[in-house]
Amino acid sequence: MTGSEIAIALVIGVGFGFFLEQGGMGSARKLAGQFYLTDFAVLKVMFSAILTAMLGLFWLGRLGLVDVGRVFVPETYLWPHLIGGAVFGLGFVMGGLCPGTSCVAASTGRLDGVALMLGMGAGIVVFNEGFARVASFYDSSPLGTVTLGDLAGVSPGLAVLAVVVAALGAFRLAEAIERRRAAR
Amino acid sequence: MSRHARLALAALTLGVLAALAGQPRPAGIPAALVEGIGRGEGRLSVVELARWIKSRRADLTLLDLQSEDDFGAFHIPTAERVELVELERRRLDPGRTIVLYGGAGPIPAQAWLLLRAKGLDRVYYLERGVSDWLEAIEHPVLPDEATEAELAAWPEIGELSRYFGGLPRRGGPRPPDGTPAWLDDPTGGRLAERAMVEKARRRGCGF
Repeated sequence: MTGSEIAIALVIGVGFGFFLEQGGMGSARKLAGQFYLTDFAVLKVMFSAILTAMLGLFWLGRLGLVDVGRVFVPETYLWPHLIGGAVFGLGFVMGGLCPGTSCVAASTGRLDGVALMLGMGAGIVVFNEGFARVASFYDSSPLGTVTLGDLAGVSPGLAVLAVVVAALGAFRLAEAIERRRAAR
Repeated sequence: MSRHARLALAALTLGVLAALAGQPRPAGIPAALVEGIGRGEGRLSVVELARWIKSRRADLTLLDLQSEDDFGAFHIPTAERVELVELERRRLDPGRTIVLYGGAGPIPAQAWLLLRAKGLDRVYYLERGVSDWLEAIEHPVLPDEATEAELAAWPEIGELSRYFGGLPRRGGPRPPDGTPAWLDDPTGGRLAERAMVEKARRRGCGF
């Protein structure tokens, strides 16, 4: 990595952390509330971020300002990703924070954030030391680089519209649940 | 209308327009690429390629666009055969350096244009492909009455040729176009220039 790349990564990382904190994502109660369907801040923040990034990338590419061919699309490994996602979700609901938000929580002095960061560090060491045991599973069921459009056999633009409609529907549903709970 | 409703309406509008647009990039091949190929952009010398293979460059992907029979008859070491139509579907790692070649004809240049239009930056092609490789690496000839640049470049060419099992030969007729294939450097004469600099350095002229 060059010096300028490190500087850009630092600016983006600090900005990401700042806006996560401002969105209330440094609070374990708020995050755990999503799993108990008592607080929908996570869903709103994440879907808003997805919509902004997706529409921004699509239209900046379309206007020729961003070369979307150079945007990295990670490869999908079906079963490792499903199991990894389940482990991640379990840790998330138990600890109340995910890796990014635990850094945000720790930087604002929350002890639960510090504890989770220590646990995350320990997990990284254990995973690396024991990698040889899970290496064959880690690379199993590769699907290559798939996008929602590829999967559904539709154009990227139509996939963008589907995600927008899903997000707006989710926002509406979340607000309806929140209103019902407030009325009780 | 509330702020949230206005934002939702904006997102929905952009989403509907995206569905109508279809692709997140303008259709067609960018004009800059077409102009680039006219300027010889993307051309690589066989000597440079030979250097990369000899140094076992780890990020190199060498793709041969010849027919199956021609590939079986001869191909450059480490090359993998691929059909032009396959390249459109194939997902290539943008972090790797891709070199394309074929027989005589425009296919490697077309493949270069295709991959550059797909957003891959580190793509090169050999303009005359196999024939240049055979002439420059397998059977290089140092012409009679060689120029200073040719004499300076020759030791490296001989070494590269022997590395690939070729037979470098001193003395012979000059090729019809005047320049040996191993000195025809599309990267702007870097080979000859570097050889001259090396020679001057050995002489101790203080470069």
